[in-house]
Amino acid sequence: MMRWIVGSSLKFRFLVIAIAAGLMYVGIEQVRNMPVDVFPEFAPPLVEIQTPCLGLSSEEVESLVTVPLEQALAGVPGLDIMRSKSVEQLSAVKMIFKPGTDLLLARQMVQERVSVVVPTLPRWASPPVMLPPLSATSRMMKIGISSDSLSVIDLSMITYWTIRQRLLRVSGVANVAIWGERLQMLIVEVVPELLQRHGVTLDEVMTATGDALDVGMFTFSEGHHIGTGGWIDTPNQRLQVRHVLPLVYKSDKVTPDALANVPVAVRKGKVLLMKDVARVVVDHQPMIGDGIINDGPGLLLIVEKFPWANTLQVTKGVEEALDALRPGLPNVKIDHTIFRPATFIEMSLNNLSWAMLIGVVLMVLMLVAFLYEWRVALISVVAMPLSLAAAVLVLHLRGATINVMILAGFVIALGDIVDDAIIDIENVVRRLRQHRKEGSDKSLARIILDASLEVRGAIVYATLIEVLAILPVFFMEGLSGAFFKPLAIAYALALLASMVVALTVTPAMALILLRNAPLEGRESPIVPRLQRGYEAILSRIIRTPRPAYVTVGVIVLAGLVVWPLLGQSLLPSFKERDFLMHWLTKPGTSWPEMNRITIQASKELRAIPGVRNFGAHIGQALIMDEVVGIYFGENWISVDPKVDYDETLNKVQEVVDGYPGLYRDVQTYLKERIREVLTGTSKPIVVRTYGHDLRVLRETAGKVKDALAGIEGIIDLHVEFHEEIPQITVKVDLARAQKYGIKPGDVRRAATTLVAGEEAGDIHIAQRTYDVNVWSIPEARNNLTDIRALPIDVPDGGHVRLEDVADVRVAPTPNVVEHENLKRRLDVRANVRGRDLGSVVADVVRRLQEVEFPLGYYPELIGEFQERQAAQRSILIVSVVSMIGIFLILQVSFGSWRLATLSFLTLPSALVGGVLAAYFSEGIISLGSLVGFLTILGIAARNGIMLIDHFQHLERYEGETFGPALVLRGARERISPIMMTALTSALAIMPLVAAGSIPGHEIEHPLAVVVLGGLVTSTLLNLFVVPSLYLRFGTSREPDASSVQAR
Amino acid sequence: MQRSNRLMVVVLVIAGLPLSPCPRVLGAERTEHPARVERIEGTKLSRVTLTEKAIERIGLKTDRVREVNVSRKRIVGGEVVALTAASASNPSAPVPGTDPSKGETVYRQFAPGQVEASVQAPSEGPGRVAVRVRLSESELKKVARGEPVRILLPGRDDDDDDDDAAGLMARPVEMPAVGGPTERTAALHYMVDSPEHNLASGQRVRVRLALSGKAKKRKVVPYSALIYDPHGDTWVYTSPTPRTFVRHEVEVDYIEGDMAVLDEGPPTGTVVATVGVAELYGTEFKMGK
Repeated sequence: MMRWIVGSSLKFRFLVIAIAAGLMYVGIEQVRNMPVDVFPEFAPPLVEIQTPCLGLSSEEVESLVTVPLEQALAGVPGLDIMRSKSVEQLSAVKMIFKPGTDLLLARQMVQERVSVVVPTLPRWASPPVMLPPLSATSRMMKIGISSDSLSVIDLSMITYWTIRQRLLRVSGVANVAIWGERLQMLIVEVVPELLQRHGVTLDEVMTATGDALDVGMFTFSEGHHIGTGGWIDTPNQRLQVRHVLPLVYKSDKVTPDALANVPVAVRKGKVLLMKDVARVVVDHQPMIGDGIINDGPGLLLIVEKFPWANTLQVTKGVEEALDALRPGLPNVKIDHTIFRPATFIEMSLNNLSWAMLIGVVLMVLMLVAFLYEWRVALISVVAMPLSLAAAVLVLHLRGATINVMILAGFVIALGDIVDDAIIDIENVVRRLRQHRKEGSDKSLARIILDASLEVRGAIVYATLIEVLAILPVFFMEGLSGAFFKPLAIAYALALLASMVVALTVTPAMALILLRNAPLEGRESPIVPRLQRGYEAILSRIIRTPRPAYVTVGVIVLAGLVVWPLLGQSLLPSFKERDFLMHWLTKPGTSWPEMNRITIQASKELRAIPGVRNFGAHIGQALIMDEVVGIYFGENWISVDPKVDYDETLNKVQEVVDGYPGLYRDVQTYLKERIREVLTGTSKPIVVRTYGHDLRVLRETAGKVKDALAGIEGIIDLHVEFHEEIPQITVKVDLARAQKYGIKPGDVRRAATTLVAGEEAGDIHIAQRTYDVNVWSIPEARNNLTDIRALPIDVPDGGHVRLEDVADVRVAPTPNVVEHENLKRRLDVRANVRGRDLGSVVADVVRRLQEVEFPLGYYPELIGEFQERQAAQRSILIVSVVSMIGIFLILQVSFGSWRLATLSFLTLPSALVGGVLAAYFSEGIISLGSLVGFLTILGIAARNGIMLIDHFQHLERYEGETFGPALVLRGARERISPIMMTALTSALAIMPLVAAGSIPGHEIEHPLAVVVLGGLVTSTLLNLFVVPSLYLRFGTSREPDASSVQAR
Repeated sequence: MQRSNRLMVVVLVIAGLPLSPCPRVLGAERTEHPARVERIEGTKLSRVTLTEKAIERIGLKTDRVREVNVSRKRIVGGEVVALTAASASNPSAPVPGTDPSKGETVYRQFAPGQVEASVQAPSEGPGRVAVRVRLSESELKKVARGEPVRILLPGRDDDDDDDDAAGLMARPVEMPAVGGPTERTAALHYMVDSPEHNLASGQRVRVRLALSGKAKKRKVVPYSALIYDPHGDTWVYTSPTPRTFVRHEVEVDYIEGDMAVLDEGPPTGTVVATVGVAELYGTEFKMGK
């Protein structure tokens, strides 16, 4: 069949060339339009439901909102893990579905269940909101908005109504969350003393406010009914009646004057106005969070993207939108570089592309040096873009996006792609020269056909072996699978494409180009010299093979010695230029203090050379991804690409470490996200403790923490910040309240209105909506004494103080309650530094077994480690399977069990080079290195096949007798292609090795290092040891020995 | 080299591999810790020691525990009531302290709901008025009875909350309890000294009362020095030596403005932290390292 394929390609060579050209064109067009991202979507499908619950403490949120929701949602089809978090005022339930679940279908089913449960939730909990579907690296940009002249309230209104609405229109943007948003509203700030003086009740103020508007919120008041205008009909015309609210404008802004003069009550014929009992102001709502931009309060916008959106494209869209807005907002400073992952993507792609380009150039140079004939070099080189284009097309048809992992797969395959072509063309040229020298009259086509078929078997089997070698990666699961499968797929596709090309296009091109090419006397100067030198060394080795064997043994021994010394880690640190710092004060800390300490940090960090800007988000915003209290902050800085990365990172770390009393760390976004996807946290080591009673749970977690303290390599060991924080508890004393005729609900409503404010209605102006709230003056709610003195209306006139009818005291409450699969849980977390993850975890496991857990409480060890273990296990199993497959293929290729065993046993020695290379470079084995090992395996097998195959061919078809002469001749003839094979692969990845671990290369660099090391040892092995081994262990083959090779 | 030597070299090289200074992943050199926390023997408290740089970073500021004159005043609402002389023929319950036979006017109180007469006792000239101040139980307990009060007139004295001398002086008088035994608020009455006033019956005024209480000189700390623990106990961070801080429990009586008046606390003159207290609290409880 091969004969038919090659033959037809030769016959229809022009057609083949045309198809190839077309393919290349289409492929390149595709590459330009394909969406590009750094990483594949590595998060499983996720649905999150958030429910704002005004005024509820975390325990109330948990029992009244979270638990009913969880119980309703627990059985949704496809659900894998359900996690929830209940903090004060907010409940968040996160549902993680099994990989492969249709996200939109999952959302539909969740929504249906939620509708059933909503009527049972307390009415003051706003309806549950399903967050838009988000990508794993959902935050695709952070924009800092500040101004020297505008107030933050004005900025908020501009941002919400203009900027945010515009950004939401950009394709791919799922949500824009605004931290620091201050909603402009009219607030009637009641002055308690004036209320008392004039004998006006709070209820009267609230009713009056609601009634003053077009529509009030209070269902019990008159103002709740909307009065529509109506019309009159004259005999001729219909005239509509429209009511204009006099409350508001001054150039489109709300002003307090009109509302201040609205009557509140009538006392003894005297009309009391709002301003007699309250201060009417334009201000904002109580803050649940804030944003700090460059040393002062500002707005931090976080733009989130859909899972199917492409970061580069969306970034471009957002930046275009901002540019369009800027001219109309002269006083507003818009900084979109605080966090811009697109920069990292661009840098990575840039670096990787350069690496590819340089690799290609090096390869071409090498080819020219060896082959010394431009036509031949051209044919070899053309195979490259062709195979890659074909691979890209296949990927596109599968709907994949280009990401760094796919590019890495291509880079690794580059060497083999060229190699396939080289093997073929080199043999063709050699035969051609031979025939011309002999003056044979075989047609060119026939020569090419025969020459190609000669090496065809080698090509096919070599490709199959390499694909088999990479097979284990296809069986990786979870996060590692999501990362490395694209790499393996790209690699395999490229290899298969190049095999097809080598069998079709290369012979066709050879026929066209080499027709009249002058090949005699055009041998490269390198080759003969190489051959002579090689032959000299090899003959010596063949005579006395022992030193060679000893050397091999020594190298293998070195490898074995070094292997256990290598550290292990799952993922490298990515050299992003945007850093994030967790910035947590003790839970229960106030908003002014959070702002103050964050601004302190901002000033110091911005003084570090290279730090361009600073943006922080504190606490919560409306509809966002941080379900936390206001004590929780994240600081983001972006660093100029021109400054030294490690030095700047060290300085930042030093500053951050210098702030006592805060939980702080420095990370990059990708690493944090990957970890968070793995465990819901961002730490490599997590001991998740489950249990029912919060206090006992806290104690147990404390015990775990104490047990783990002191393990070498563990840093940042801490129990998650589930603590008791002080809370003012108001409990109505029924007996005392009874005396005044006051009911508990009255107390709650009055106190809440005075402390938290209550919405009385809305004003609609110019497509915007403004709240009108009733609150109290800040001086009336500044401290605990003020709370005790809050005036509560007495039914028939007058007021009492809150402490007269209620018990006001400070009591503890948990700041957050978290569930995993409906069970309460508490984490003990740690980071690892200075020691490899695997050994630290071993210690952790040991110490955990010594801790005593109360009945019903138990730990679970999760984190990066677990993922890696799972990954390694599956790789191991499949590796064994693929090894067996390789062995069988070798057997088929050589037609001899002995030779197959021989070849197979030399493979591990090839790996040793990789091990040593890893040891001397980083000292760590990561998943990238493991994939590198798999790659060398394939390459080493390919080389082995080439040589042994040729020996057999010489014996079978060229009448050489088995013996040293055979081996020497065969080796000499193969030195050139073997060297080329090795050099093509080596040069292709050389730029990756040389450049080091720069952005874009973090995963590929260890891979390349391992492959390079392996190449060195495997080539040396092939050149110097295999021939002598063949001589020793191979046997003479009868010319007519049954060969399974289908020629 | 000889065979054996070569072998030796090889063996040594292999043996030396594990010892080679291979670059492991090195953590950044740890700089000095910004804080040190040491348990204080026999207590549940710890001593927090900060470095100079750390103090600068968190912007820590301190102040001292002071003793100040605290005159506790409260402004409440009051109602002007006219007083009528009791006609001898219609004696009300005799009011202690007044003796009609002596020519002292007896003032009679009217229960709410009754029409208040505005007959002036002819012997008195322009009417004397009293101001009724209704107070709840807890407020009643706090008022310094027997102390004169100031009546603040609307409009004129609105901004004079802190001026002790503003307003009309009025003295406490005893009047029979208003209403029946189920009356929820008790009332205090103050008779305005000066006969020259523009107060009309039924008018609402503000009354500055003196609250009873402890001695005039009270211990105070700035409000920003206070930290509440989960159980409601209040603490401040004292600084026995410049960079060390120790928590000290305080009893807060009340907080006014940015001042917290203490019932109990560290001795006067003690240095306490006023800015950066949250960070000290976090340090003591091991928030970061």
